[in-house]
Amino acid sequence: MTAQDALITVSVGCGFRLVAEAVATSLAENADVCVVSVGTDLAELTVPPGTKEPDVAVLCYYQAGWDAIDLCAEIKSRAERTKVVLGGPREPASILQTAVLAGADGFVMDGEPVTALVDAVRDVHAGKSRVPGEMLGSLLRGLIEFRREDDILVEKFASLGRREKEVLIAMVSGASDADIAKRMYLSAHTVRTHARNVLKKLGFHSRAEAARAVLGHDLIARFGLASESAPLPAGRTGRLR
Amino acid sequence: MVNRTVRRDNPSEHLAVRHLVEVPSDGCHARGTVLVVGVPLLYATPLAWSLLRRLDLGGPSSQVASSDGGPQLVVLAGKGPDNDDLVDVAVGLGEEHPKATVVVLSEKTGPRALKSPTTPGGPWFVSLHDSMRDVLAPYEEVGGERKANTLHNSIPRRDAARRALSASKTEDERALLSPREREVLELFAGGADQAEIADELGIAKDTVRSHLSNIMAKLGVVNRVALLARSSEMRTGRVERSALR
Repeated sequence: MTAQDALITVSVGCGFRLVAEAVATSLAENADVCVVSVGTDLAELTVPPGTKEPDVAVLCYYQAGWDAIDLCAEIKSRAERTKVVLGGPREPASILQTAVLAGADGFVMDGEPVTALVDAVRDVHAGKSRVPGEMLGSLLRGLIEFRREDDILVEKFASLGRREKEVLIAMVSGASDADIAKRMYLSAHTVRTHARNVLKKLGFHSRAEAARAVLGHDLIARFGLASESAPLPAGRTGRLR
Repeated sequence: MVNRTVRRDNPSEHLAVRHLVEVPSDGCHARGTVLVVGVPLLYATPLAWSLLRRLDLGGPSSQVASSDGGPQLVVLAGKGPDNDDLVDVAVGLGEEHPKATVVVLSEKTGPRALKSPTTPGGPWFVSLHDSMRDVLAPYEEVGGERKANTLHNSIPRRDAARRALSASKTEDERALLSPREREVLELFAGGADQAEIADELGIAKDTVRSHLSNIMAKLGVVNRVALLARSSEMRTGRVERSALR
């Protein structure tokens, strides 16, 4: 084993460059840590081709609007071996929950000292998970609840008719009723009727609620349905007429 | 004094968070003390260390700099709606610690974020979006002699120029939105309804509504569901752009 192998290679991301660099500097003070990339987005965090993916990615969720969760999912899908530690606020607990669902291996509360982050990096590198003990209870409850909702939602979604699913997917993509009507060769009234039935079957009160559930539970991809929000190609229209 | 750091409404409550960070000597820099205000502890220490080292206050030759125990550097970060709120707090902190250099870390980019000190010793502004490299020391060594940097506000000037150059190619849709609008959008995308957003941000429901309409207008979407879809697109880039127009 060479000296290089003994080091934990780390990427550090934060929506604020100044914070990312400061955290990277602090991590690099530790003799067993080697920072290989620092940045505010995936492109900057990506190591050059041919280089080994970092052992650990540290993502600091500090800037409102910077999506650490999606970045986490993206990093995980690119390199399974890279462990992800998320630094973030304790409240709301949903941040930790979505992070875990996105594949995060560790979570450090932003009220903890930076030494906790160093410990977390070492822990996840050693194959352990790290979640603050005080947050574990609400995390487990949240995950169980999510799972339960998921089962119910999947069942209800499967009960929708083909056209209803199509309307729902178009709706979730943000198309207006008129757009959907035109695209699916229906009248706007029919679209509204489909939408009403979909909401009723799924047990939602508003379209926004439905959209959140479909996006949050990733139903479109899981049911192998394409989000056909773009106009249908000409070849497809024959069947619909 | 503490009262001064807490505003009436909640958006700037974080300014009540204060950390006094001791930075030990590392051999080439003197030890120092940094007061960090409005930054969660996890980031306070790294920022204190990096900024103190970067600004090199006290310098290698002045081991006595922090003998009175007060901070040489006060770092204040703004999550608040406006820099002007921060200026008040920064001025107050400057009075409280007259020997310290006060640095305001602003979330804003662009010229508004980059005010130079209006009075000698007044607060500096550094954008949180900048690189540490862009943070210049207020002193420089000239011929072995420590000299105050004549361009005390060289950070603002240089960055303003750079931003003016790059502004035309900035395509980030988020840049269209004000920090407040981004906060509203994030809460909305996270599942909060208007009442919850209003509650969370300490503003009226009607204000939330008008923020949402402004966001929708800026992003060119026609309804709230489209806004949800767009905000998830902004995060993932997966949904086809044309599909949402």
